[in-house]
Formats: sequence, structure tokens, C-alpha cells
Amino acid sequence: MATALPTAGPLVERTFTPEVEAELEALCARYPERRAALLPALRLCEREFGSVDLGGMKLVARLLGLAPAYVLGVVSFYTHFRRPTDGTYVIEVCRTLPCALRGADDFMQHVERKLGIKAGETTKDGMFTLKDAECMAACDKAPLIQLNGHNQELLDPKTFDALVDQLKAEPEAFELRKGCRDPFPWTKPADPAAQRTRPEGERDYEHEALTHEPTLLRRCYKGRATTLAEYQADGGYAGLKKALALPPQQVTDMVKDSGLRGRGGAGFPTGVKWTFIPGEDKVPGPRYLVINCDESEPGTFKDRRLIEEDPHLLLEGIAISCHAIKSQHCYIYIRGEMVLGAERLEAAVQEAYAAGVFGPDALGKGRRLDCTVHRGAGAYICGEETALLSSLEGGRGYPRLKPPFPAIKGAWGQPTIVNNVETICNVALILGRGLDWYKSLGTPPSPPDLYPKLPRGGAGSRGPKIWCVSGHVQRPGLYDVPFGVSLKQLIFDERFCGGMRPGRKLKGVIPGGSSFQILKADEVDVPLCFDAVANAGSSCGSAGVIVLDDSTNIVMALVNVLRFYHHESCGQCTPCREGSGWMLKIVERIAAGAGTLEDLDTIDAIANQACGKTICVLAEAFSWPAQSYIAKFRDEFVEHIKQGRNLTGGRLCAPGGSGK
Amino acid sequence: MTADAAAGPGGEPGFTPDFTFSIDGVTVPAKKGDTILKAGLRAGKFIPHYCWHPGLSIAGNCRICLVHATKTMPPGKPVIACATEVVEGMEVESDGPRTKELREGVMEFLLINHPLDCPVCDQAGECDLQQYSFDHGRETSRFEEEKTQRPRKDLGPLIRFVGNRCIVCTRCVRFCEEVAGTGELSVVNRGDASWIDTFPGVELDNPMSGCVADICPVGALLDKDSMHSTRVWLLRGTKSVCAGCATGCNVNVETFDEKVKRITPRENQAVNRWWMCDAGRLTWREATAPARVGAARIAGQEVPFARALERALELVRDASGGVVGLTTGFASNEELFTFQGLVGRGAIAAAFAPDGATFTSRDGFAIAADKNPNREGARRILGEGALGAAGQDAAIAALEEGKVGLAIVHDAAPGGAPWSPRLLAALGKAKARIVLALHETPANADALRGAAVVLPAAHATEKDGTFVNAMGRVQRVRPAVPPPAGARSDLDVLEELARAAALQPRVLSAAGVFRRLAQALPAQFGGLDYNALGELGRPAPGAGEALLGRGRPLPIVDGVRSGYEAGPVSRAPGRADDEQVRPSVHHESLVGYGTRRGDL
Ligand SMILES: Cc1cc2nc3c(=O)[nH]c(=O)nc-3n(C[C@H](O)[C@H](O)[C@H](O)COP(=O)(O)O)c2cc1C
Ligand code: SF4
Ligand code: SF4
Ligand code: SF4
Ligand code: FES
Ligand code: FES
Repeated sequence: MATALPTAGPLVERTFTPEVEAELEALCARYPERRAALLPALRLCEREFGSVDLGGMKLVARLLGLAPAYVLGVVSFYTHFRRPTDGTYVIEVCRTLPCALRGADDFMQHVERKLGIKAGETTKDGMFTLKDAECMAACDKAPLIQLNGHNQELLDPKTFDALVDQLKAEPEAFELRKGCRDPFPWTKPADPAAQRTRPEGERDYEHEALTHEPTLLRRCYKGRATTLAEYQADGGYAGLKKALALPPQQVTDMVKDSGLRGRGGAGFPTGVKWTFIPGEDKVPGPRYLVINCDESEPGTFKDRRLIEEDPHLLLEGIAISCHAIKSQHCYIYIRGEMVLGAERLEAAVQEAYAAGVFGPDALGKGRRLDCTVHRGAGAYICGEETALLSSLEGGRGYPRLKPPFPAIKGAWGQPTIVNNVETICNVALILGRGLDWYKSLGTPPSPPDLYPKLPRGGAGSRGPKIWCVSGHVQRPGLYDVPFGVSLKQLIFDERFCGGMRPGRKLKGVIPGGSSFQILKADEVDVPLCFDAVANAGSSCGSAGVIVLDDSTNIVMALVNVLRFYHHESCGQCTPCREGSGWMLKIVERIAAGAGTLEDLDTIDAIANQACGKTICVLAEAFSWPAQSYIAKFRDEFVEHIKQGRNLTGGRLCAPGGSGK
Repeated sequence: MTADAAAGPGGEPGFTPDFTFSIDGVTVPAKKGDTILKAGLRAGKFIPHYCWHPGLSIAGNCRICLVHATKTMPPGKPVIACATEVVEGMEVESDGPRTKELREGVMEFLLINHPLDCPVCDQAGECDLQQYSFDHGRETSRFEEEKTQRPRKDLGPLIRFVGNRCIVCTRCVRFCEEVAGTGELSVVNRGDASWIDTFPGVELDNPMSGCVADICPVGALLDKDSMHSTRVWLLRGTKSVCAGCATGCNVNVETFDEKVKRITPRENQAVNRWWMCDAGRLTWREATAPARVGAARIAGQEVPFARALERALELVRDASGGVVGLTTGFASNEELFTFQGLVGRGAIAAAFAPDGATFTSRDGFAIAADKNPNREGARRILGEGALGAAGQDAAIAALEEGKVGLAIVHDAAPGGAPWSPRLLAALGKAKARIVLALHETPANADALRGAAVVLPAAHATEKDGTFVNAMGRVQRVRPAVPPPAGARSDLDVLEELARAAALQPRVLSAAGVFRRLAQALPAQFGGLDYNALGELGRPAPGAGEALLGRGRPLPIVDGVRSGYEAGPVSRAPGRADDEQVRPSVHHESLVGYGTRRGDL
């Protein structure tokens, strides 16, 4: 990564106009402490001065009462601020594994040729800056770029050239494509004719999957956001009405009873987490709900779709959850790269304020509820809930020591619940559609129906679920199918992903986002639910299902994954800061044909020396892939070492996209 | 327990254990809320640590303090001793094989990108990384890759940063935020590309900036003043106090070959916590400044010390008429008491260096505005009448009467005592004049000119005796180096003169003078025993609150950093200007005779 500080250029003294200062003051008023307005204030600099430069940092430091070095420390932690050296158009090419599996590396070479510059450089005319980027939460749309913050998806050399040529020829006439305009990726509506494969009276998850009517995504794929009126017409906000008529404790009990588990990665039971909030007699003062919309785990792209196209589902869930945990302010932390998502979410929040979902009497009896959209600035680690809180408070995205857990001592030292977007959308569904409906979906705890593939004693995985499938399948995309569907069915069924590209066989699947262990082709006949996948030695994680076909060079896949986590280590703790880089250097050396067999042991030792010894689990996130790829595809690593060369000439996999 | 017992390193007022737990099978008493590391240190059980510092919030990032312990969640997962609260009956393994493996692991990680330039590193010999790698490291490294590179640069007038050695423990950053409250430092970038830096144009230049070099566990932050001067294992430390101001910071005066090489702070919770100011750190340069009076003189001609002393003794013996004595807030209690005896019934005036800049840290350490290390001692011994304008007026009156046979001037003030022009003019009326002076500067040149005898006075680093700090604490100054060639200490000289005046028996040691002084002035020094002053001093009768700055600063959060804390916001709430955020350093005590911080 570029280690240069964002301090290029002379210090030009900056000032905001009185209007912008007033805007900043209004932003400050949304937080209990001025420092929290730091990232928003830096966005104001971007807007007013074209980039975050030294003068802007100094100005913001003065206005917020911070030391200038502190502001520099924060700015340099994040990658998504416009730098003074950036050209008019910043083109960021996603190079992370799911995109790379679909040709991002070849595409990048084309982009470099077309623009005549390498990553990190700016064209001489100052028009284009090219940057390597990481997963943009649109892995089904690879190859893709972000152009000044907006995804331009499913590109190929021809469409990219056209884009650039148009920009050069008539930049004024150029209209940025915003958002997706794609059809539902799978056959719709649900297939009523699907045949049961198990006897009547026994649960048939395969059949359930085929006949399931999408619920989480039912209003998506319109190419725009559902309006509040449309949402209400479809039965929306009825759940909120129900919830507000109940005492908070009862709502929490319902969520607990529903069996809802967090969709952000750890699968922690949501209702149980809510009960960890101490009573007001023990810890007085505000409680906060914080929505984790940082979605950056490679292979995960569900939350983006939900907030871009059906934001009110989330907002309804927020109002219900705030009622349950007695919170009067919800912060939605949305990753910096989701420019469109933030715009649409902000618009929806305004609609909701106007409709009284938020505002002075939102919770009834004169109880106010506020909702603030807070944009991040480009740091994967801010998805980790305590790093997210550090970032929300206006700091470097450093994870914090636990205990204390956020539910006890979170944002601004107050009890805080952090939940994923999809989790809170589920809360809206639990209230809206009822507990019985909710509990009929997914797998129950310690399944009484003896579904043979489920382990005993698990906590169950209830409710609808969005699976994000990327990589070498015919139809990558989002699949709104309840827990229990088998990984194999999801990948191979014609109604879903439609199997491998022609002539290719499955090599392995990472079921929960790139930080988890890989499953080999013969391990994919596993029901997708937390307990079963854990039993198979991996995790449902954030449901980022990354599919690798037999053309994939596993060593190159590991290089790609390690590059990501090395780049995203916050650098606080010794084992992760040093171990991630060390491991990457070794694997790069193996990939270059200069590895030794001892290297494989060293990698394992680094993993063991790091896992469980750090502040957050990013150490696991780079160790588990390494350990599992080597354990399951050891021969391939050994072959690279023995032959002393890269077996695929440095390519990750055979060229071409899905074959469609 | 007295408040005084709280002063010692790790000393805690009224420590009563709530329960016990064990480290490596040894029972350790603990208070509720103690961390493993803290309780262990109190009981003398050392657990390695880099990022943890008793005066800073807990960062928990270096991971060297990982231990195995029972009664933790989840069971079997190692915990960091610096942030994990002990519970009754917990069994901690700190020296066992499983914990050793953890430390080896962390050490290996720390060293892979470390340059291992110990032979040329200033920290070598007092480096925690070096020490722990000796204690816990592997013999060979498995690391064969290229090391990361980070910058090497000046962060401020006093501090140089050697990036490749930094282990990103953030002690220095937390110090500037939580103690100095000035926030000049930040970690920049992330991952293994992180380092410590300042904002361009806003240097690390706060009044306590040198402390970051003390607390940096490795050689990444260096005090430019002492950098590359001596290998630290050759240094000999003398436990003394700083004479830079009335705070009286406890310090180690570190010497090699009878020369002071640096001054570093020594922990005293009742005075300076773990810190000292930058100006104080540089006071040793006063001893070698060009303005130093290095040789004795008779009538302006340099002569051997013994001859000058002999002449002085004659003058005292033969003195006819009254005697007038002038002294300063830089004289020790013993010197003052002896001087008082020497002058007898004559007028005594003490002059004081003018007030300078003050600074209060967020944790209660304060740099006193009073730049005299012993104004309080002078007040207690000489009485209010001798101080300041009143004392000078009395001396002027006596001199102008024209009946003064001998004026004795003891001027140990760096930069020369600021006698008033009237007093200097009046001095000429005394028949003879003996001057002991540290420096010769425009301020005191008139006093030296025309003196019958000039004797070199000792610098604080050469003195034996006691000072009373602004809060009334009596503390020992110890000689770290001898006075200039051939010279004898001020106390010694004053004692000789006093004996010559046949006014009192010769006492040979500072301890002896102090004993007499404590007997003579029970209200001021009663109950104090020189030998029991120890390394940390004792409060004199009527002493004020222990810490000069206590009550004024923002409290530092004594908690885990993971919890929310007041951030690195400047001291002023709401809007603050950079200027407010960064108080400027006072160093007037160095100005005017050769050394300025800018020269370093
Ligand atoms: C390195 C790391 C990255 C994470 N990224 C995300 C993320 O992008 N989105 C998310 O919702 N949770 C993420 N998490 C999980 C959160 O820490 C947290 O468990 C989650 O937001 C809790 O919400 P849930 O209970 O609703 O799942 C991440 C965790 C780690 C350790
Ligand atoms: S494990 Fe890595 S990402 Fe997590 S806190 Fe430590 S250094 Fe940061
Ligand atoms: S410079 Fe020293 S004190 Fe500061 S972070 Fe680095 S190692 Fe720690
Ligand atoms: S505060 Fe005063 S006593 Fe302490 S180091 Fe500075 S000058 Fe010396
Ligand atoms: S968007 Fe490129 S990997 Fe996810
Ligand atoms: S001393 Fe405990 S983690 Fe650094």
C-alpha cells in the first residue's frame, strides 16, 4: 500500500463560509460530542475544497477543538477521502477475490493500458487517477469500478473504453450511472410445482427453498428505492405500529423467541444481546442503537442492496428495535464507498421524519426518536463493532478491548447495541409478519425433525436469509432463501446459481465471506445454517458464498485474500500488524516459485501465534484462510514449491466471466 | 498511613487487600478492580509490558503481557495482564511454558520488522525490547523477507524519531493527549505502515516533550540533547532534585567521567509523578555554560582557589564594622543557615529569579512559575523580612549608612542574581566584598566587578543538601559531579568563613548543618531527620497539598481504553485555537548565557 502521508502540497489556509459553518454546527448537534462530527466535517472539506488537504484538516481541527495531528491521524487511517493529488475522475478498480475470480486482474491491465497509467498514478492532464480498490459490496457485478464514488458495474474493455472516451469528449454531458438496473437473478415467482423429495410430514428444506417467496428482497430490483408510500402500501410500518403498542420488554422477548441470529458475521442471538443492556438504575443516560452497514467482508453484498432499494424495511426495524431497547437515537454507520446508499438512506430517513417514524413523538408519549446516517471513509476494520464505534466517535477505526462489551459500555461510554442491516430488517419482519411465520422458516434449535444433516444441540438458524453468491457460477447474485437450503443446491440448482461455467468443475467454496475456511467440492452438501456449516469446519459468517472452479490457482487465491487483510489490519496489535504482512510475504514468495516446504510450517506457526491473541478477530480472518487452503490443497502449494514456479503463470484462474 | 507514604513508586495510601489470587503459585493480595499486572507489580511480581504505563490509559496493543489465567472468558484463551481484572482465587501463569510460548511469539513478531541496530542505538542497554528478547526471545529468526521501512525525522526541537524501531505501542501519543494535553503526536497510516508523526508545522514542542523519550520502550524516540553522547550502561545515576523551579522534580543526574550527560525524571507521586519539564532536563548545561565562573579571583586576577579562600578568610577575620549578606533562592537550606550564621546580626537580603512560564499537566504535574528551587527554604530560614524588596531595602539602608565593613554575596543563581541597580550601586559602599558566583552575566557583573575575592559557586548538580519545594516538601540534592577544578563546595566555603568569623563551630557535613537547623527552627523544620529524608523527601511542618497541580487539571481516565474516554480534545472545551492547544515552552533560565534549545 501507499505509505505516503496525505500531506502533499503546501498548507493553504482554508475557511468555510458562514453557511457551511452552520451546516457543520448542525452536524455537531447530532452527536453528544463534537469530535464525532470529524468524518462528516472532512466530507464537507471534500465538497468545498475538492479534497481533504492540509488546510482543510487544520480548519476542521480548529472548529472541532481537536489537535491537528489527531485529525491527520484519522485522515491517514482511511482510504476513501479525496486527496489533493487526485485527478478530476478517480477510478477505483476492485481487485478483491470475488471480482478477481471474474476477471478483475485482466480488466485492470486493460484499464492501465487505456489510461496509460498504473494504479496510484494520475494522468498528466489531471483528469484521471487510477487506484486499486477492495471489495465494493457488489461482487456479483464484476468487473466493476467506482467512478468518483459510484459503482459502474459489469464492465468489459469495450464498455470501459466507451466510458472513458465519453468522459474525455464531453465531460459536461456525462451522466454518472447510479445504482443497479438489473432483473431478479433467479426465477420468480416461487416455483409452486417443485417436487418434494422427502416424505410428507418431514421437513423438506430443498422443497422449501424452491417454493420460498422472497421476503427481504421483495421490493428490490426496481432500479430505485422504494418510497415510504410504496412501502406502506405493501404492508410496511404495520409492524412498528404493533410494536409501539407493546411494552419494550415484550418486543425484546419476541425477538428472543424468534431465534433471530445476527447476520453480520458472528450469528449471535439478537434478542439475547439486547438483554445485556444494563437497567437504567445501574447505568443511567442514553442508550444507542448502531446499525452496522459497513459491509466490506469480501463476497458480501446484501446490505448495499437493502439500503439502496428498500431502505424503509431497515428504518422500520430501527424504530421497533429502538423501542425495544429504549434507545432514542440510532446511528446508521454506512461505509464510505456507498455514496448512493447514503444518499438514498438519507432521503428515506427524511421521509420517515416527515411521516413521524422518527422525530419528537415517534415512540409515543412524547418520546423522541432520532436517526442519523453516518458515513465511514474506507476501512474494512470499521465493520468490527468496536472499531465502528471508535470511528463513529470520530477516531481512527481501532477496535477496543473487550470487556467491556458495547451493550455495557459502547458509543460515548453508554450502553449500545450494534446490529447488522439485515438483522434489523429481520426484526421488522418478525413484527410485521408475526412470530409464527418467522419461526416456520429456517432451522430450529436441536432439530426435532431429525433432518439428517444438522448437528445436534445447535442454537438453530431461523428466518429468511440473503445469500450472496459470487465467483465462478453461472448466475452470481443475491438469493433470498431461508436457512436450511443446501450449499450444493444453491450453487447448482437451475433456479438459483445454475452451476459452474461450461466445462468447469467446482473446486471449493468459501461459504461466509473471505475470512472463513474453504470447503472442498466434496464438502458442499451441507445445509446452510450456522450450526451445520460450523460443524463442517467453516462458517455462514456474513453469507458471502465465494465459488471457485477447478481453474483456480489456490496459492494465488491466498495471495489475494492475504493482501486484503494485510491492507486492512488496523495495526494496533503486534501479532496482527506484523503477522499479516509476514504471512503475505511468504505466500507471495511461494507464488513466485521461491518457497520452501518449511514456509508452510512457518505460515501455520504465524497463524497459531496470532489467533486468539489479538484485540479483534482480524488475526483469525487472515489465519483461517491460510490454514484451511494449505490443509485442503496442500499438494498445490507443495507443487509450486517443488517446481519452483507459478503453476498458472501468475494467473488466479482461467479467463472469462460466468460464461453467460 | 501518612500522605507521605503515598509518595513512593507504586505506593498507595492505605492499601488493604480485598482478596488474594496467585501468580505462578505465589499468593498475591489484590484490591477489587486491580489488573493482573498492577497487582503483580505491587507485590513485586514483574510481568513484561510495553504499551502499559502506570500514568497512561490502557491501550492493550503490544500483547507482550499475555498470560494464561483461570476464571477468564472464554476459558483457555490467554488474556492480557495489563487490562484483565483479577478475581478472587484466579491462578495466573506468568513464567510457565505456555506463557513463555506466548511471549516468544509476540517477541518474534516485534522483531521481524525491527532493524536490530542495537550497536548504534541510543536505547541499547535500557531497551525493553532488547531486555525481553534476551529474556523471552528465540535464538534464531524465521523471518527471511524484506523489512518494512518507516521514516526517521525530527519531531520537535528536543525529540528525534527513528521509525524503524517504533513498535507502535502509542505510549508517546497517549502521553501527549492525556498528560501534556497538547496532542502533537498521532499514529498515522495503518497496519504495518503505521508510524508516529506530527502535523506539518506543528512540532512536538510542549513543555514536557522530553518525557516521550523516557517512556518510549525502545529507541524510537530519542532526546537529541543526550543522543549519541554516551552508551547508557556507562552512566552513573545520582538521585537528586531539579533546581529549575520550585516544583523540585525528582531526577536522576546521569554522569560519565565526572561529567553530566543527561537528567531524567525519577518517579515521585507527591511531586512530579513520572515526569519533568524540558527546561529542567536541560539545566545541567548551566554547569558548563560559557558564563560559568570557573576560577577564583583576587581583585579581578585569577588565582588558585586555595589562595582566594585564604584571602576571603582574612577579610572575614579582619572585618571591621557591620556585615551585609546577599543570597538567592538557589542556595540550599544548609547554605542559607550557615550564611545566616556567618552574617550574624548584619542585614541579609535574598533575591529571586523572576517568575517564568507555568504549565499544568492533565494529571496534576505542574511547572512552577517560581523559578527558584528554594524560595520556600529561604522564607523558612531567613524569614519574610529578608526576602525580595524588603530585604534589599534593608541591605541598601545598611550599606548606604557607610558602616559596612564586609559584604558577602552568595550568588548561585543561574544567569546571575537579579539584584536591583540600587543595591548594586550601594554594594560599592562596603569596604570589602566577597562574592561566590555561579555565572558572570550582565545581571551580576557589577557585583563581581570590584570584589576583593570571587569564588566559583557550585551548580545544583554539584551540591549536597536540601531544598524545600513550593509545596513545602524537603528534598535532598546530591552531588553528581565535583565542583570546578580546585574549588570546594559552597557549603564548605561558607562553613570555613563562618568558623573564621569565630561565630560558630565548624560543622563538616550538610547532615550536621541540617540537624542544627532543624533544632533551631522547630516550627519550620521540626521533626525532620536528614537521613530519613530518603529518596523522595518529606513534607516540612505546614506543607501544602502534595501535588502542585492537583485539582486544576482534567483527571486522566484510569480505565481501559476500550471504554469511551474523553478524546484527544484540546484542553479548552469547544473551539480552540492551535495556539491554545500548544502552550509554548519556557526556557528563559537558559537564555543569555550560551545555551538555547534551538542550538540542540
Ligand atoms: C474484522 C471484522 C469485520 C466485520 N465486518 C462487519 C461488517 O462489515 N458488517 C457487519 O454487519 N458486521 C461485521 N462484523 C461483525 C460485527 O463485529 C458485529 O458482530 C455485528 O455487527 C453484530 O451485528 P449482528 O449481531 O446483527 O450480526 C465484522 C467483524 C469483524 C471481526
Ligand atoms: S487484530 Fe488486527 S485489526 Fe484487530 S485490533 Fe489487532 S491489529 Fe487491529
Ligand atoms: S515512538 Fe516509542 S513510545 Fe511512541 S509508539 Fe513508537 S515505540 Fe511507542
Ligand atoms: S518542573 Fe521545575 S523542577 Fe521540574 S524539571 Fe521543570 S524546572 Fe525542574
Ligand atoms: S465488489 Fe469486488 S470483490 Fe466484492
Ligand atoms: S502491556 Fe499489556 S498489551 Fe501491552
